[in-house]
Amino acid sequence: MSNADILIKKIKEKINSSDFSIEEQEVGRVVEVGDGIARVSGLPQCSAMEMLVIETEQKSVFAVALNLEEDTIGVVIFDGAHLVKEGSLVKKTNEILSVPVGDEFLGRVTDALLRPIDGGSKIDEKEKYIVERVAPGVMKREPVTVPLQTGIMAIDGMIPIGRGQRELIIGDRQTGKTAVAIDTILNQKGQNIVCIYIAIGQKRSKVSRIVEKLKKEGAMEYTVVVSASSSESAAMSYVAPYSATALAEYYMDQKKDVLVVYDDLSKHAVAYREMSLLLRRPPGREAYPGDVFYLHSRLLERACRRNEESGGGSITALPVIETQAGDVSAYIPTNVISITDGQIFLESNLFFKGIRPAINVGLSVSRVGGSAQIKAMKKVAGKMKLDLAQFRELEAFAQFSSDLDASTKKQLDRGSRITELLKQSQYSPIPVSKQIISIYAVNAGHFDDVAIENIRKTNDNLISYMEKSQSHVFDAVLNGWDEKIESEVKTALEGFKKQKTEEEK
Amino acid sequence: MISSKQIAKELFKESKKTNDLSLFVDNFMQYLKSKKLEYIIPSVLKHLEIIEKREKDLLTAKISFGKEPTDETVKMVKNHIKLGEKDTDVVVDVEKDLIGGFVAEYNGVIYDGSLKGYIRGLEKALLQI
Repeated sequence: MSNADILIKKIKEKINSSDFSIEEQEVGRVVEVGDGIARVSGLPQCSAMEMLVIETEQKSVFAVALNLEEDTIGVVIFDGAHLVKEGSLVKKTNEILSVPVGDEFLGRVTDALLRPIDGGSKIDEKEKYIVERVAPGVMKREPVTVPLQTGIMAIDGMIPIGRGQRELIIGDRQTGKTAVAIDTILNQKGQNIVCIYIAIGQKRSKVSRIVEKLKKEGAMEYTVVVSASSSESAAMSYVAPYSATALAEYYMDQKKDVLVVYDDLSKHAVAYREMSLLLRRPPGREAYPGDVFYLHSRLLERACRRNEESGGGSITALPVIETQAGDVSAYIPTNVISITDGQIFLESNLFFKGIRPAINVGLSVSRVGGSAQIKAMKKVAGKMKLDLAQFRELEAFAQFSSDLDASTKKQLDRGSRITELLKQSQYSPIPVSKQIISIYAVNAGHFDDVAIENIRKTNDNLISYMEKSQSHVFDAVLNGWDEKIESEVKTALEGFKKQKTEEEK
Repeated sequence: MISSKQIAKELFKESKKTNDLSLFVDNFMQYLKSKKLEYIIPSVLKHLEIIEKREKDLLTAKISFGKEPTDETVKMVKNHIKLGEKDTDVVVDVEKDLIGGFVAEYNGVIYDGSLKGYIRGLEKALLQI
């Protein structure tokens, strides 16, 4: 049978199996429209969060039913709100807001409804997931015990993150919040982790820069970028994190570990406030609606580590919050702080002092990550967080005092060296084994005789020395920490010192 | 406090039950006077008009045919959309875009039995090959 014959046969089959009965469909009419919100009369059987299609002269416009009122339905229009007119026909789809999911999303850039916007090929809608899925229950979860290395020494050492954890990145504008998130994505290369970056209310130029960087570093192979830029409607910004989380859940259902970055939830809350006010929901504190806490709690609750019986896999969430003038006690920051399992607080002062990543160790915490930290890191960096926080306090006092006792001086000296060592350039994640050696070296006083400005250079030399002659130590520290490994590290450090002295001579 | 919209809704509902409309209106006006609520009358009237228009729109059956229908065809369509012999306004028109068959809208439901609709369905099915 030729191809043409097969085609003719298939077409005939389709025609014969087509339904030529009278189609009945419940419809409504737009009563009022403005600012991306429409009120629709009719549709008595409409469900909350049901997808609706508004027929306009040019094209069909997607909308979702949010407010089911006595006479009308408040709907938010995703795009093409300007085409909708009073009296436009509204059709039900009998489908709760859902998005296509699948493996082919990897390496793609999509909009909030997971439609590709990168000019690439069309993605087949083989499977769909409901956007607002209920988070896994208590019995389906497992404690966070597997580390998720960010490649940032300050974080992996002092504020460790585990797979399935929700760790907030919080700070003022221009303090390097996105940089921390992107570095974390870059560090997942070869770790069998799927990354999803959600840009909410960001400039398109910024999203484009991030995509370029990820492509350049080869990170797009395991990353999906979901963008609801600032030029899109509030509805798109509102739905973007939910649809991206639905995609993350698809990967989790494939037993994969997923890292999701929500950049940022402050803009998400602002978009939801805009929508709620237009829908005439009562405003509360800072004009946010009463359910703004639930908005973020139900989203972040979906991040978890699932036990094997329930399918395994994990979703690690890194939500980002932008504060105003360092005020962490504002409404949205306090909400998200209370929802998450810790926060990485980035400070403008540190950033402008050149301490980058500008992490305020005193205010940053990881509530569950400690149990996910690898043994060697736990041993070598255990006290570092406290030491550094004390150093920052002492440093402030030391400015007023001229004569300090020997122990204070020593503490200040060690603190400055640790601070210098933890400075790290953007887009240069460090493998955890190398981090352990560096942290051990500074804490054990091996850098005490090095001038502070030379610490990073010396550390680089140390790492390359060990890579050349003591590379087995890197493997050893990954598998545990005992006296034998410690003595091996010590010997390696002494060897480096000896070589350095000889070179200086 | 009851809004003028709520008053208009109740007024519309109750007016259907009463036999003496003038007495009903008199009583309502007296009530407003006693409560010093005369100022809401324009707003109540506005809402009454909206409710009435919506009700009328909902209860008017609009039937479009692809070509001039016979009385028998109109009757058959009326029966299909369960209009029967009901005392409902029916607007019948001809829309050549439909090619053949009919499209009816009544009580918030669209009944599509047009050739245009069938072709659209067929297009969808064939695109899946």
